[in-house]
Amino acid sequence: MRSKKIGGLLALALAAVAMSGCGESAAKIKIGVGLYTDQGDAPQATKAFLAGVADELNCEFTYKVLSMTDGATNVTAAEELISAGCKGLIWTMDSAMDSVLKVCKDAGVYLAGYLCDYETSYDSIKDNPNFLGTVVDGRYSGTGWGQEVASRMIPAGYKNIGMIKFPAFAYPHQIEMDTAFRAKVAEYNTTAAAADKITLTDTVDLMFCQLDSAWLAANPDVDAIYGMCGGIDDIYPTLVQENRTGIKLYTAGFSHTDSIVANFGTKGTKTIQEMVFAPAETITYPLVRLVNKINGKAYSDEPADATRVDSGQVIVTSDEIMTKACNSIYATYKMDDAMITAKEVKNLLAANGGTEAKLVAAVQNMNTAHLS
Amino acid sequence: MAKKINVADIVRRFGVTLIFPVVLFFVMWIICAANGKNDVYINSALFRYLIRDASITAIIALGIFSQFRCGRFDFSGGATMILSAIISANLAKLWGLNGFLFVVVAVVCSMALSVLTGLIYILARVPIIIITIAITLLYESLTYIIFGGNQVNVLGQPFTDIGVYPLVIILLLVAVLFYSYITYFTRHGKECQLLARNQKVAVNSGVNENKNIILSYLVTGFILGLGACAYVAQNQVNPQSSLSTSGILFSYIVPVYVGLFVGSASCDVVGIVITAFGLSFMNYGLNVMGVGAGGVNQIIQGLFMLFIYAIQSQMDKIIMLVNHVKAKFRKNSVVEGK
Repeated sequence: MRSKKIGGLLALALAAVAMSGCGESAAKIKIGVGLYTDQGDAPQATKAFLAGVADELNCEFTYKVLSMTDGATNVTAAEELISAGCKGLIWTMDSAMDSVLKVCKDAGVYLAGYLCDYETSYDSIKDNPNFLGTVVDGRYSGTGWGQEVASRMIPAGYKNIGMIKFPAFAYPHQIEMDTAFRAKVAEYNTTAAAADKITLTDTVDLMFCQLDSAWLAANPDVDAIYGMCGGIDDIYPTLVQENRTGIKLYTAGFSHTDSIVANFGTKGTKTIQEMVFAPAETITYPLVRLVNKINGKAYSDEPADATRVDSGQVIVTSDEIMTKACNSIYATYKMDDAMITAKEVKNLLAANGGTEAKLVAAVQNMNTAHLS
Repeated sequence: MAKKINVADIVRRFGVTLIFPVVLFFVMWIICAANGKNDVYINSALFRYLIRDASITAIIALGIFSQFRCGRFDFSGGATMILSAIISANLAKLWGLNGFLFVVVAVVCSMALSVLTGLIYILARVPIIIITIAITLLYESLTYIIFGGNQVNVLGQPFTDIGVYPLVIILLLVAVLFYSYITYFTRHGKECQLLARNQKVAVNSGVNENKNIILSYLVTGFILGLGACAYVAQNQVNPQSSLSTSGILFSYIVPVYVGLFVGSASCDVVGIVITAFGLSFMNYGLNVMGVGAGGVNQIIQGLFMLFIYAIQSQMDKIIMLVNHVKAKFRKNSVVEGK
């Protein structure tokens, strides 16, 4: 009799523990984040931001590093995250998307993109019910960006501008930047005095490696470079090695390492004149869309197909902006330095009166003007 | 009786080795000139590139070769170098070190890590490839932990002047002199050669293998420390994972294999250094031609390696053929003389 009582108590205790566990796991939304790398500012800032909003949104995050070249690795990563209990995936890689989304469909899991325009797969996945859209790294079209950079470089008085980008097969929109930049310069040259005309070099494609010294030797008169590619990693080191730091660099990407800060804007060698990056906070777009869907909520203005949203950009063009960028979450990895609070992110949820228009506006307002 | 030095023989042997970069220089010059890029190839940038690229390549190649020559194929050299680069650059920044002290810190750090690798190898008694892969993973994981796992970018900082043009040549000279002395003028150097030829026989004839391992790792550490200075002075260094440091290290392995062939007429160290200079001519020429990277570059590099290896493996037959032709020519001359 006594043993029966003890057994009963034990069973009750076990049931209570099990139920409390169930309650806990049911309450927390588990989201898997597939990043393109685990190095550098963007991944670290992204992790810091997600950790900062986790409690407010009642989410927890698990991370995987995806492969740029091996689709099978990405499919396996999706399977592993789903096996670990993730109900939503935030994805940064456009590779084997049909297979990844099939895995998601089979498991009833949703996927949304971050820092990726899904250029190769977008047409085939945009109406996939498991794909909730994506936020692009900056702007989808390169035309506006090319024109904007030209409008800053032309008045600076450069006479010979070097044009460097990544190959088109990997970054197709850099051709648009190149074309738009050239058109703007050609337009300027039609009215400029002969002495003020700007010459542009042929555009060279960097095969994901450092600019070689021979390019500088072949272009001895270059006084500025428009690096559509990641010039901080691939152009600046060559300028330093070849002692050509007098060349001004306008490029994509951001770095706050000592060498860059000391030679940016009006400081040091003044080599780096412009950098640009998409804030880590723009992950708000896929995150909010996933939480809505997992909670069974929809916006009143929910788009019929998954959309590709441009993100806000921080364009670092002055010492003042550089200081602010260095104090942003992108460089400090602290949620307190983010452009949006966890509470504001929560307010963007459909359940709290948020709309798609408000969400898109919030993500696009994460820009230079909102650095504090 | 002291052995008589045959100066003519030495000049002839080193002359044969020196042909390699000279041939590559002229071949690339002809190709560039034929494509209208003569002024870009024959340019002061070539000299700067040559000093910078060949120096770092030769230093790291010597680091690889220092273990290779002892019969060990070490995967951990890259991790040792990258970890030393991260530590020394951060400490140099933190403590405001000058170039000399920066090199000292890098070398000490690299030697300590290398000796640790050697000790683990001695204690674990696991095959060198397995143990060095494990150590590589261990050291790589440390790159994510120390100094916050942040990227190291000290390009242009005053203390890095020693690792860029023109001072990087000093690092190369130190590496070459140090390694040549250890290899050719010390007992340790001879013992390394014995161990590489036949480990059992060497041990049975009195070579203390454990002592040799520690000493050889000290030597490797010294050279890789110099390599770390040049590497971090010329590149941004990121935390590494998944054996990526082995990839960095072995991207400098070509001068080792080609250098052994090129140096067969003179000596290994000269062969490796000369090959590094020769390959720099080739790389610069390819850069001028616009194929400094990507698929075409890989094809050219691969075919070049294949060509060198093919010659190397068929050397006996080539010599026989040359001798045969010579003999036939001589015979014909004698017949005609009659």
